[in-house]
Amino acid sequence: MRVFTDCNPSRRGRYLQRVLLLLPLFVAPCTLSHAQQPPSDDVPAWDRLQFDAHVRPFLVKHCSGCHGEKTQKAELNLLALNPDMAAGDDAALWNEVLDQLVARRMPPKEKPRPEAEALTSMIRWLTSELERAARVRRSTDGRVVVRRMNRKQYSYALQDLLGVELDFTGDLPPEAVSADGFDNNGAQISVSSLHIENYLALARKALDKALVNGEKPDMSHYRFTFDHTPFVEPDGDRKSKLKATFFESTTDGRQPIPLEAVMAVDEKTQQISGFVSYKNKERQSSGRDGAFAHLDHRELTVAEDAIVLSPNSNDRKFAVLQLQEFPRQGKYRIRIKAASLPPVGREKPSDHRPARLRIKLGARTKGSSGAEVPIADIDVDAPVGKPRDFVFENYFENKNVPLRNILYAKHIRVVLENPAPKPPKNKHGKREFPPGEPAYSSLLVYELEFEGPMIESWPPAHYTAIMGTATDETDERAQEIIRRFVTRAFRKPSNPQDAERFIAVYMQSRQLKYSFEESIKHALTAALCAPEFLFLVEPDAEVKNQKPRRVNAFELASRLAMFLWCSIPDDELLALARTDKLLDPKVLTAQVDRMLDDPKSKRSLRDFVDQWLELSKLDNININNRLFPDRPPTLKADMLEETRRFYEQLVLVDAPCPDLIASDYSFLNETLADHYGVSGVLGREFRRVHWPQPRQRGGLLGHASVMTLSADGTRTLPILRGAWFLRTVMNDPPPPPPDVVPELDNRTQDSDELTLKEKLARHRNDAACLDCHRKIDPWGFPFEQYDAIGRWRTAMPNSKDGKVDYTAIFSDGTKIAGMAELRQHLLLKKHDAFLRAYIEKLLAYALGRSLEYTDRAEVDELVQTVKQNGATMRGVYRAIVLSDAFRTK
Amino acid sequence: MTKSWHLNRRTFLRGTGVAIALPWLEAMSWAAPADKQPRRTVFLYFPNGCYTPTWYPEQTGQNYNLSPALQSLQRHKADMTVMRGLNLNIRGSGHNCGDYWLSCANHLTSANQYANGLSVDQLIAQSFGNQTRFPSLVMCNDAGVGEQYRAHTQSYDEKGRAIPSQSNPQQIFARLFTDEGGTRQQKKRAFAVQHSILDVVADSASSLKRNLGARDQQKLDEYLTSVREIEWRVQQSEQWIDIPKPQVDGSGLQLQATVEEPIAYVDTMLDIIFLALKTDTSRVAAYMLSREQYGSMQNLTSRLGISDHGHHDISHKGHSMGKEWTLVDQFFSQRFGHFLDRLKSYREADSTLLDNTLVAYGGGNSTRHNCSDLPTILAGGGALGLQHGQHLHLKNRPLADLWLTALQTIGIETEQFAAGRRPIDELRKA
Repeated sequence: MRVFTDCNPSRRGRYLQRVLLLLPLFVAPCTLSHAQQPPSDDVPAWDRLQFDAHVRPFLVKHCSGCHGEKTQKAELNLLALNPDMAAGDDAALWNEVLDQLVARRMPPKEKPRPEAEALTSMIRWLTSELERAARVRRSTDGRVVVRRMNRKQYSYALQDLLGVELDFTGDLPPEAVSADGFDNNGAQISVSSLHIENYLALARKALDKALVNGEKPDMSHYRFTFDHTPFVEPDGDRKSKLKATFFESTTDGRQPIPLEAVMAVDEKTQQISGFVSYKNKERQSSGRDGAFAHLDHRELTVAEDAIVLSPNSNDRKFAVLQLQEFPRQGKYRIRIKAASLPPVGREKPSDHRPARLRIKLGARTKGSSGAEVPIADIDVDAPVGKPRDFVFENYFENKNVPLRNILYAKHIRVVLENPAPKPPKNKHGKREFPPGEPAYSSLLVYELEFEGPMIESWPPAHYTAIMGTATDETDERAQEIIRRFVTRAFRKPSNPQDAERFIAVYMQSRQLKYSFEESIKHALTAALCAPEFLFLVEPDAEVKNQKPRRVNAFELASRLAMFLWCSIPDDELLALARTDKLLDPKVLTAQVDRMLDDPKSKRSLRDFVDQWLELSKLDNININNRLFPDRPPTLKADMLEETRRFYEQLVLVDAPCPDLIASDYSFLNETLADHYGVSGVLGREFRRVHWPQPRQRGGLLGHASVMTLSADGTRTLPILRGAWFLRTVMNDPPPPPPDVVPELDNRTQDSDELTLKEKLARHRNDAACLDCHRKIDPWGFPFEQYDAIGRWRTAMPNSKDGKVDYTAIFSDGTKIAGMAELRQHLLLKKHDAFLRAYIEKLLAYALGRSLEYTDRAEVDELVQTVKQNGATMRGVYRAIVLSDAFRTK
Repeated sequence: MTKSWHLNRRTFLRGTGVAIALPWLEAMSWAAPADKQPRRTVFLYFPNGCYTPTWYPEQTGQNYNLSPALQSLQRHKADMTVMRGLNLNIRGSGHNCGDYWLSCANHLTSANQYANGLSVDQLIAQSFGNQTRFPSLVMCNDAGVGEQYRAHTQSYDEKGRAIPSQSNPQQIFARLFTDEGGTRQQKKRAFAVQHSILDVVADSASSLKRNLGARDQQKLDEYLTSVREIEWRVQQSEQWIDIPKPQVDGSGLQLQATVEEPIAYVDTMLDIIFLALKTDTSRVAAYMLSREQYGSMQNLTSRLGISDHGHHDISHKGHSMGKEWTLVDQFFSQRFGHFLDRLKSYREADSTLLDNTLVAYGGGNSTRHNCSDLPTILAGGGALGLQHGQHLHLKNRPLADLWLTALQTIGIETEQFAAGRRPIDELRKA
């Protein structure tokens, strides 16, 4: 029997988390065979034959003495229970029976033990019947349940609808995750009052951002340039000075004011020290903060027109640009004009590394010391003489901007530093990068600019997109604005009726003497909290006749946009929906490609691979500092980036699907390349890298991310990786262990009842445990070639013989020794099973529902279609969108 | 003493001419008479169990010595009772108990599906909630509802639906104590607009629902229920339009603290609860110090320099990491002690706030990662007829018996709560 992913989430949901910590596993309810055998076509119906042949005799022989017709201990007559757990009401009692059997509490000690084989088949029947019942009960008949946008989709939808690139997830609670691991499942994700409360607040916040009104806000603009001039003092002393020019301008019509500060430079060392405040006297006299910028620098070397940050200097931090007047919301922009100066004697391009530049941002509030947090970490690859601009933009309001409480901040600080390692002292006591080791260049900073909020036009484009260009404050204009907005937000054929409700909100607000714009905002807030915006509504024309039907062009546009952009359709999709052209398969296919080519596809590609491979679990892994000392702090983030980028690129370039399993390339930066032992990859930037040792790496399976998340940060356990592999890559999740199996790991001696040894013995001796472990464990062994943080290993000092045991032996005698063989095995023997698993996962994600047995034929057909079209990544996306399931409500 | 922001029944009724059933209206009669101090209840839950060998005291009865994990509670010994032998009838992993600590509900339906039931804090909220601006506080260091068996909340409504928790001290503080500003007229106007928005949103949902199949209708019902809850809350707030939020000085609070500074963060959350009780802003709070297993407090161990292993990992290492686990347990009991200090520091008439507050402190999970022998302490309530200063070794009693005892102590007349039928007499003054 084939296991589709829809098992009872109460058991499965727990299990997905729990499996990482489990050793004991009992029987497989449904066989784990689908990676090994083609699935059979059975529809789960109750099997009386099996019950009569095996189960009933077992009950009669071992249980009915106490729990039968005559005696009913605990008021329980097992022979009277309805054995069809799906149709009957006795599933909970059967579950109890299962627990008692597995825990060996029943039959009681004084009674004869059932034979191992009989017990195993009894347990197997109970487990599979429970799973079947859960599946039947949870079934949505293969139909999509009306889906609310999840928090990511909601935020992106607001961004795309309003044209404001802010994070609007706010305090929306995290979504429930479905049995198959996705957070966009209509049947699973729910609505609570906390959602409504947040929707009201977020809609209002978004509209306030989009419909900014009033005067154009002041713009702050600070720019620094440097000029280093040697000169001779009147008394003949040779000196030089650094002249820093500071331009400050705002949009209130004043010209940039150059303010100069001159610092003496030590002729011998070419260093300056101390800090200088720049004061704008004009501002000071107007009663505002006097010093509103200051530049802090210690032991900086100077060049002709730049400041030099050498890896050698003691304090590589410089230019703490401290601003007392700054924007507190909107988009800011930091521009740095910089170049890279190689160490003396290492000028050849292959002989040095580019200078590094880290930018940190921090806000200080009253009474807090504040701390700066990195916002960028880059390589400055511009040579001296050809400095380049490096620009960083973001919104102050966005969550990834590390400015807690910027509204209350006294000042913000922009810190530039060169984080390259400091060279060791040579035998002459001079600091120098030793020959043969990487030599980092110095960073030259020519200009530093900070501006914000960036405003391209006023009122901004996102304002006029909603409000139009008219300025009258009539009800007619309001109605027009609301109608236009509702049509776009609801993504359906425009119907004047839809907007009437919201116009009524406007009218009432006006009666309450709210202003025109405020009343518009009230109406639009209501529209953004309406189910037509929040849900993917696909009504049935006739409620009584709820047969599956084709979705209409507008519904299709919404499904497409949610699938490929995690958002709502754009104007082009809606235009194609209006004329029904979108229903034409050719047009639809072309749209899939257009949408995948759009940068917005990045959202969904990354979102899918995160959930498919359970990448968020990386967050929970503590890399053991003692075993793996000195890991770069960015390591986990870099691991994640590799896997996301890899998947994204496979789809963007339409790579063959087998590349997921065995590609000869990946995407690395220096940190990861070091981690993998690959040389020649320098700098923070990720780039495509050809694997030098294709036996060790290739495809997703060897990625450090997945190898780390399927271990525990300290050591590896084949069962964890085997179970991860079956769950994700093969979409063949091992069954949950029975409830009575305690959650323990194999290093634990925490049970007062059993020692580890006893547990292992019990585990080994129990045929039921073995049955399941035999199917999961082998898949984990080839992965033993990677350590707990995904590095290749050829020895295991802690194992008995110091060797890595990476050979999997399956029950049918198949032997797979190591990753290279596993990849070959998957490509040659399991190609279809793997492809099918991938398609199933992506289909479930695309539909926002779990697959059911009724989807079998559809999946079969999809696999064939994809193969006929050359089994490429985009081929899968296109085939899914063209499938009946995707186009049927 | 009657505080100005106490609502009397008449005020309450006058304002509620609405289509929402208020099943707890009759419960108002249970409330404490106005001349007495309000009776409060707080539930504090710690995750991943505890290391029982150092958590439970060795001796039982009144002459007992505090165990290493509870050392810091010495000064509160006379105001609390340590209990062992309380159980939850939940099968499977001990982590599952996090969902049921306060509801003690059956965890499966007959169809073997996840289920939950009304939690004791929400029962109290239904009884007393309409007398305070906020019926209850639901807090957890991991916000939201979480997932089944790894909930981020202890609180469930009568249908067993999880009530989302809040985790951000600034937001919670602002919600409780910061006035939205504006004149009475402006506030009234704002309420009117909120009603108008919620009305049309509900209308949209109702008319949409008519064209949907049964399963879709359920989803829309969920949405409608949530909208009505907010409507009800807006009406609740309208009751308080003339009563300003209590003036609370938040400058001493570290409202910006995050879980990265576990001590400051947890203490701030507890301080907010203290302020809410003190000002009678709410009478019941349930605060989950972290969800079970991998929560936001998982790394408190490394943040406090206890171990490189996370809290949950330590909880699986048993005796081999008993020392580290004890340090984690001490961290939690110190926070609990800090909270009791706060309650004791505030005098109300001739007693302290602690004397009028029941504080239950415990976990849903023992060393063995199952739901029996749950570490539990009940503190406070001295003025409500509770006696303390003891270590009770109960014989396999349902946790619900403790909640039943609590309900009866604060004046809710009921003979049963979930599986609880027998109050714990040893806690009552003779």
